[in-house]
Amino acid sequence: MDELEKALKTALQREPAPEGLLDRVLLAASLRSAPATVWWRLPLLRWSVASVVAVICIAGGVSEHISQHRRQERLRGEQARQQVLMALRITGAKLRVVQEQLVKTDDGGRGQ
Amino acid sequence: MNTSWRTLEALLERHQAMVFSVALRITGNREVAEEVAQDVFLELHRSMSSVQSEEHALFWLRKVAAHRAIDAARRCARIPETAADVAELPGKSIAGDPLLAQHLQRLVAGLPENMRAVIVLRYQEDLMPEEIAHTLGMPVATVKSNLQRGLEMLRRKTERVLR
Repeated sequence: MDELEKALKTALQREPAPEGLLDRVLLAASLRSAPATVWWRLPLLRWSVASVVAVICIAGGVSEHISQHRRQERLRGEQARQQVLMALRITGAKLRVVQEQLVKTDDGGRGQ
Repeated sequence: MNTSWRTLEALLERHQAMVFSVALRITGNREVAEEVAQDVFLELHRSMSSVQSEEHALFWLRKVAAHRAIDAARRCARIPETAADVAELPGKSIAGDPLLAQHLQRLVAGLPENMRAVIVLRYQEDLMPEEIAHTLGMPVATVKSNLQRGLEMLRRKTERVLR
C-alpha cells in the first residue's frame, strides 16, 4: 500500500450517522406498517363494516327465502293444474261411457 | 414489539454509520446521503424476512446503499468537485494534515459514480476487489480496472501535495 492508498484509507474513514437517523427510520417504518391495521382499530369504521356485512347477509337470506317461496308456489300451482286436467279427463271418459250406454238403450227401444 | 422490529433496531444501531458514510462519499451531499440511508433501512424493513444472518444483512446493506447512492448521485447530476457540500465535508482529517484529507475527499467525489463507489468500498469499507465485484454486481476485471484508473487519476491530481 503506497502513500496515496494510506492517505485514502484515512480520508475515507466512516462518519457517524446524523443525530436522530435511527429514530426517524423507526418512526417511518412504524408509520408504513401501521395503515394496514390502524383502520380496524377505529370503532366507527369497525361497526360500519360489520353492519354492512350483516345487512348483506340478511338481504341475501331474505331474497333466497322469497325465491324459494315463489318456487314452491309455482310447484303447487302446477300440481293443482295437473289435478284439474286429470279430473276433466276422468269426467270426460265417464260422460263418454254414459253417452254410449244411452245410445245403446235408445237403439234397443226402437228395435222392439 | 416483534422480533423483526427488534432485529431492525439492532441492525440500524450497528450499521447506520456504514450506510450513511457509503452514501455520503458516493453522493457527496449530506442531505441526500441521509435520505438514501433512510430509504435503505426502510427497504431492509420490508425485506426482513429474506435476511438470513448478520453477515447477509451487512452485505445486503452495503449493496443496496451503494446502488441507491450511485442512482442518487446520477439524479443529482452535480459536479461534486466544485459543489459546496463536498467542500464542507467535515470528514476525519489525516493525522497532521486535515487539508490533504479534505482535498482527497473532494477528488474522490469528483470521480465518475461507478469508480467512486469502487474506491469507497475499497478504502472506506476495506473490501477486496472480489467482494466489491459481488457487492456492485460487476465483473472483477472491471472493478480492478476502475480501481487502477481511479488511483491513477487521484495520483495525478495529488502528486504535488503528496510529494
